[in-house]
Amino acid sequence: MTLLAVENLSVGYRTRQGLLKAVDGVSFRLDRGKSLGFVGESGCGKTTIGMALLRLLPANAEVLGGRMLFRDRDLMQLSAAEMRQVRWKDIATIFQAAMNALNPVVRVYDQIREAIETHLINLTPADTAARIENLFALVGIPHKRMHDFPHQYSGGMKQRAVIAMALACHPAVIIADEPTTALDVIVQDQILKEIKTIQDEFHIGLIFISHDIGVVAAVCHDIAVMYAGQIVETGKREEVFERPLHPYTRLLLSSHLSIDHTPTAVNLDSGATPNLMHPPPGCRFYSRCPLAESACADNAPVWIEGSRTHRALCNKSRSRRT
Amino acid sequence: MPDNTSPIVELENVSKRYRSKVRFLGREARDVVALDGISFAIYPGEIFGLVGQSGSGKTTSGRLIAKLENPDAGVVRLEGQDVSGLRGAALKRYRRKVQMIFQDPYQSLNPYLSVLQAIMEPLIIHDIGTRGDRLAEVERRMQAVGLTPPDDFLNRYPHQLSGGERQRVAIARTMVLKPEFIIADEPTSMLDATIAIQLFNILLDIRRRWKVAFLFVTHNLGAARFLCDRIAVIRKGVIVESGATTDVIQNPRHAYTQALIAAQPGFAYRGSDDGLYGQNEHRLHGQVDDKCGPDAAAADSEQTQER
Amino acid sequence: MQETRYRFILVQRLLGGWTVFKENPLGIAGIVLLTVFALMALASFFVPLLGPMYNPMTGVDPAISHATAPSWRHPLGTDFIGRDIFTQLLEGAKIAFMVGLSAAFISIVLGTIIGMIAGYTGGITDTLLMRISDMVMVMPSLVILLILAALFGQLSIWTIVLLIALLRWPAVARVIRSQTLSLKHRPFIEAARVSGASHLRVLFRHIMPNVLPLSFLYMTFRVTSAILVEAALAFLGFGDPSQVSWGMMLQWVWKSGHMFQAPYWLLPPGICISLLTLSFYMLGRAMDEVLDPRLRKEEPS
Repeated sequence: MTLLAVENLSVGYRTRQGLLKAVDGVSFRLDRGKSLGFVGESGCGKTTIGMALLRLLPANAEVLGGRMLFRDRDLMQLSAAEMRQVRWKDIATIFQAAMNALNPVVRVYDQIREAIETHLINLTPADTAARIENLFALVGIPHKRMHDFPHQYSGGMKQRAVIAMALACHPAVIIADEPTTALDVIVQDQILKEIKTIQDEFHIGLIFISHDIGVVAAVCHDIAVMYAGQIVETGKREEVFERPLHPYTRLLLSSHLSIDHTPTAVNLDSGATPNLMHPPPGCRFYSRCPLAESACADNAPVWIEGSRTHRALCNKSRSRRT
Repeated sequence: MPDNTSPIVELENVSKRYRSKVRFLGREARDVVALDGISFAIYPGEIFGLVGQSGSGKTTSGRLIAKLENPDAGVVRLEGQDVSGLRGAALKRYRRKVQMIFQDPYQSLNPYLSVLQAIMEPLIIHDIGTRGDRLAEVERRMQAVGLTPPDDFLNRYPHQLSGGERQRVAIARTMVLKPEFIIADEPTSMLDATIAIQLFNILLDIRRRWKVAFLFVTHNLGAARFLCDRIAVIRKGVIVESGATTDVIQNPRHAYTQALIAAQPGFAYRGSDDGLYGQNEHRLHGQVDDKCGPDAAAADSEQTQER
Repeated sequence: MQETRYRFILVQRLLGGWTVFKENPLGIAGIVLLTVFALMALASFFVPLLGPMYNPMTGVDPAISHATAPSWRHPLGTDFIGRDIFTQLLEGAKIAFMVGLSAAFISIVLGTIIGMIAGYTGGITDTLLMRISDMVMVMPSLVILLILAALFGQLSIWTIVLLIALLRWPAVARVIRSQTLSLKHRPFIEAARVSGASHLRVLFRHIMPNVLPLSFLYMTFRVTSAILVEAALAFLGFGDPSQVSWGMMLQWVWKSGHMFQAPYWLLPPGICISLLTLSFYMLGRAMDEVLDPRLRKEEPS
């Protein structure tokens, strides 16, 4: 069942020099119980998508076009009050370093209780208490630590508390933006496992945004690779990572250093991202693409299919020899 | 790749503690032990990795070698000499040999100095060469780190540079003094992977061309695998394991090392045969939930902080 | 040749700074106003040459020995003994600049150096300097000046300048000290130390440029407060009687009972005081943008 359907979404930031299109014509679907990972370098627009879905864009940004449908309701058509209900109850979020978003002067238990009481007015106090206890158990915070203040928690525990808050209203969708970047590797591993477990158990649709391919590969069923505001490749995890179609995906993969890696990687990338205020007419990856031909500079790239679920935005058809 | 048998930098039983300034209701101020009697040696031309999580003491080790701070116990040696008593001109000579690249590219450049001024600063401090010589040296180093053409960058200020460009300026700045040893303190942890790998290639190039030895401080085992000849795993101020990189990673002996390795997101990619971005020989691992780090080690790093 | 290229880069940077300054409306307004006043101050050297009648102190118009309204001979009229008000206004501009700039400059230099040393050294030096600063800061400067004037008779203008500066540096010192404290541990300062910079070099090459914008900003406040203190002193009758300042003019209006009868006499000095202090403030804001490369509007790169 499709929870989220985004069609041709474009988001722009108004700057002094003009309009910067951070997200340009992005489309994707998120099904119940599935996880979709957005991966790309900083500035590619992945965080903007998360903010746009929640209609939490900053004052100088606006949705330029496209539709965002949650359970067939157009999110842009909702009033502010209706959107507030959707946020947290239906679509919850975990931001990077969200541990810093915990109110330092309120006990963690009370913060979660407030979140629940604000959005689920029909619960009795007893139900609320039961739910909170379940949440703490779910994320692995011991009972005796429930009533502590945030500063008494370690970084990992704070992040778990934030996850508990996100789950408090049993949302259908969770948008997690770099939820483990500030954490140590061992803690990150546990949190990722927990996120997966929770997602499987509650069939939550998860949108996972990260610049770290390794982390996205660990959690997500489906991948969307973003570059310069566009999705350049999308598909199942195995498809994208074992048989990447787009040269940028291959660049990202070759830049990933894992412990099984033999140290001979040579990255010949120039690192120059295109100007999003005046995007080039052809392929945006042209200036960095080792496979580029002159036609790529002028012609907008087309979707090429690797399989029914796997496609990439590229002018050249690449077939991988396995 | 040690060139000869005597180390260039050595730590011998070094300890460092930070006094907490807070005294609570008459209780003694609690000290934080950053380093607890650690020892390691780095050989000329070698890249040595110090791998640990936050709070492990890895950054403190680097700072002690850079002499930004002094150890409370133990000895730090450069080329066999104890460096603790160095002052004045001798300290300045030390600075020419030992340099440092900092973690945060957004804070490690003086916002009021242009790229030219920043890279030239060490030359001015040590009174090396004429103005013309200095300009030439600055340009040479900028070429070496990939800030080309130099004219495009010389007059720019840090806020006009990307994170990767700033780190290149920082690297060029360390190189003008022709040091023998560089401490790289998580130089890429705030940058994207594609930029990080370019910077790593620059460091490898520096080691190859000028035989500079490196202490590479990191929390990323994969990066250590890529860069380092030997690594040491540090936890809570104590080195739990050390040895040749491949050895430690393939045959970890200590439980903590094993937990670290198991916690790496299990992912590797099989490279292409057209060598588009070099040769990477990876395989895609299965689900992450095959293995779970030993509970004891995991619980340790979850230790709560009671204040 | 390498040398010439190096100098060229320097010039480029200075021009860059001016370009930024030009584009700031506050800066332009401030500069325009300041230029007007500066011209007034300069003119005050030449106008008396037009004739003895136009000397601000002693130039009595033989034909008029009382206050008159503006006329062709006297664009702003004359004061109660027949002196030309416009000339006095020009002279007042000169005094204001002198007093304002000198007092502000001295107190900024003092305050910045003390603040930087206190912040950077820490320890006993810091504590000592800050306690001294506290003691000076709580002294009410105007009252002290009044007392000194009462004790020692009329103070000369330069004494006033010095005293204002000596009583007003603590505010700057505190701010500069905080700034220095926060800068001390920044990575780029540590990088300078690792490069081998001596403490002096770190202080003056690395820390100082980062605190100067704040110093300049405070300088504009010091100028305004110096001008106001001097004007207040003069108005109350404790200024330097041999100098015609705007405050002095206000005193004369008041003392001679012309406050409500002669707006052409009362208003100009008051307006000038306000406008001059305002223009320094605007200048300060614009300088902020020039001096801090980060505050500059994004340059197309």
